[in-house]
Amino acid sequence: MIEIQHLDFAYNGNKVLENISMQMNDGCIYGLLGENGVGKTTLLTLLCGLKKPKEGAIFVEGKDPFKRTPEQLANQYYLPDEVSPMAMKASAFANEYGRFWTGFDMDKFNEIMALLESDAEQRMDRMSNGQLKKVYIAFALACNAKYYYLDEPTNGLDIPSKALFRKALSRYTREDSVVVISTHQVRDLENMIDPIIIMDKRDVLLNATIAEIADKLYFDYSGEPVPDALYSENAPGMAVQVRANDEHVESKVNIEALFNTVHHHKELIKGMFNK
Amino acid sequence: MDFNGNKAIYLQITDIICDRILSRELKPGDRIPSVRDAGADFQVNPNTIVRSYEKLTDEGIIYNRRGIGYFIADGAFDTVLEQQRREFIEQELPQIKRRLQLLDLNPSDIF
Amino acid sequence: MNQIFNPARFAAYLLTELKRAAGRLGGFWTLFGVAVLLPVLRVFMYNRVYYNHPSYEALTIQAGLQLFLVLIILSIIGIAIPLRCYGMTTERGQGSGFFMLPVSSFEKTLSMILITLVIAPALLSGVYLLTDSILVATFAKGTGQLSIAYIFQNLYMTVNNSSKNTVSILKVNVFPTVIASYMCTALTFLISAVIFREKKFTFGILLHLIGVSSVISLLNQLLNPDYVPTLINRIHHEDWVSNTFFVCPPDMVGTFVSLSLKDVAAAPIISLIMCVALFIIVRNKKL
Repeated sequence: MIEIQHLDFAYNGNKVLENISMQMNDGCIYGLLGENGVGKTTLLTLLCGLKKPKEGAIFVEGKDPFKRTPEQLANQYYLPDEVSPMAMKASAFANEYGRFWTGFDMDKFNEIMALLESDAEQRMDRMSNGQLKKVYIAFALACNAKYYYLDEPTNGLDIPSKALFRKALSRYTREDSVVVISTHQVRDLENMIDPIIIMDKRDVLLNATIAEIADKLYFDYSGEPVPDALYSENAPGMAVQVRANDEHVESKVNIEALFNTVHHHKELIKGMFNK
Repeated sequence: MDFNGNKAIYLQITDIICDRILSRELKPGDRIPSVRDAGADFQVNPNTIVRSYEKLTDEGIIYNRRGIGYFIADGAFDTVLEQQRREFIEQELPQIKRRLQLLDLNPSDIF
Repeated sequence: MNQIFNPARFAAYLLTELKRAAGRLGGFWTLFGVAVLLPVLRVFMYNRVYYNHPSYEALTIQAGLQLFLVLIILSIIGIAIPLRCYGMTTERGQGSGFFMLPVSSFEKTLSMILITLVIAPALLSGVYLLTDSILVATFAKGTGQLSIAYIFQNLYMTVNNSSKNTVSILKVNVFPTVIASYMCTALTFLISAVIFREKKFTFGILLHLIGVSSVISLLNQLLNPDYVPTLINRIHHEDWVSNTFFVCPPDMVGTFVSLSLKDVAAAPIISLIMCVALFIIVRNKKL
């Protein structure tokens, strides 16, 4: 379990995160959404221990991740948005570095590489960015860690690979894993992320499960005008309108529409979901 | 998996499983994929599958053997049939009736 | 204790890092391999140009030049090894991999220090020694001498200690000083590699000149207040330190100046402090 208490962080005097408090529970795949520059990557680096909070505290399994003890590090994996190659074959890389993670399974690595349609016998420094990303994704999941911090994991993947990534994420994460994925490509991870965290400048606008969102907001795809719509989008073939769900009828949550709704009605949404 | 339509994803998944039961693709005693595998197949969050499976278990359509997996229950076909008939009569039929009226058609003209 | 230092884990990590460093040092292996041939080539060319016949005699270089060359080479690798192997610690992709590897900060620092200060230079010297030996064995059977042995036998500095009444030329073995200078350079650039996001070389030089060297001189002043920089005019006989570490050519015994521990302590002490500083930096590094 991750606990964030009154977290503050600033870059060169510019406050990026202000008084952020939240809890992240076991067995959940969190989607961290927000525009670029809003602090998603910063939050991830704080969670994995690459940065230290200015104010406030972070507790992962009750401990401060900045301590970076081997025990803590072996229980997590941070995948940055920009990865760099090693001068070796992917299989050699996995062999060489996997043993430092206590749960690492080489067979699993090969399985996931096969699922991602990636060649483990290719040299990493001869791979395209997408192929390299897949190696790191396979390695990360093969570590069998509890905590995963993935920064834009689908960035650089071609469309078929995005689907393969979703499959791999669902099949190969532990039941008790806490996965935090930051993305601005919402469609890539549409049905995978639950709960959803939407960040704005220095603020968390929403932190709720899909069930909670579907309980409070109704998503209308009929195309007929909805009175009191909080947000509407009328692209051909993709009509969706969002309104308050007083009848508590469950509909399919469209995350892009949700994102826009939240940004247009920040205070209203915060009030709706305040626990 | 392309989930279109109004319904919540977990409900669309239960619909798919029920369809497979009705078409006899899944028979009583058949094992259905684990939560993780189903999640991978449908490309959805495993917790969504959990919700689907919980609903189907509550309705007596599937049952869980701890440590082994989920299986189609014996009376599943009948239960699903009953459910889908009720849904058809209560939801789809009124819409069809309304369309017939609008188009000024008589059932005897069609059937 | 298992969290800070685990022998099996450290051994595996050291090996992994060694392989990585060896890869990062690329061209240096070849350079050290062929370095033995460079004086040969030089003499050959020289004689060809001026006397129009090849000659392999006089492959020696003056003692002062030898020391100079050794210092230059050591400085180069003392700068290159840290920057090439550990420069990546400040960038998000590779740096996060470095700090997120499940190995303690102590083990990471220790491996950096061992590789930069001991193992990599030893291996590079080993490559040089290898080609050196091959050359001697092939061309100078029995009569020749390893250039590396030659250099180290003659690695001393001549100091004019003449005063009004006496004339004396002193030879001071500078081997420990050379080693200490390498350590300080390498450590300075290790720190520079991990601290500075860019311009590591420039800031490293600045750090070395302004920071480290001055501190060492200062410490030296404190330890040895009577020490006059250009003249070493204390003579000790039967000093066990000097006899253990320094090689003294027999004809020089009377004028040989041996150094006490205090004379050479400044650089090692500062090196130790820099090692501790490096550990603190690695442990608290924020990417």
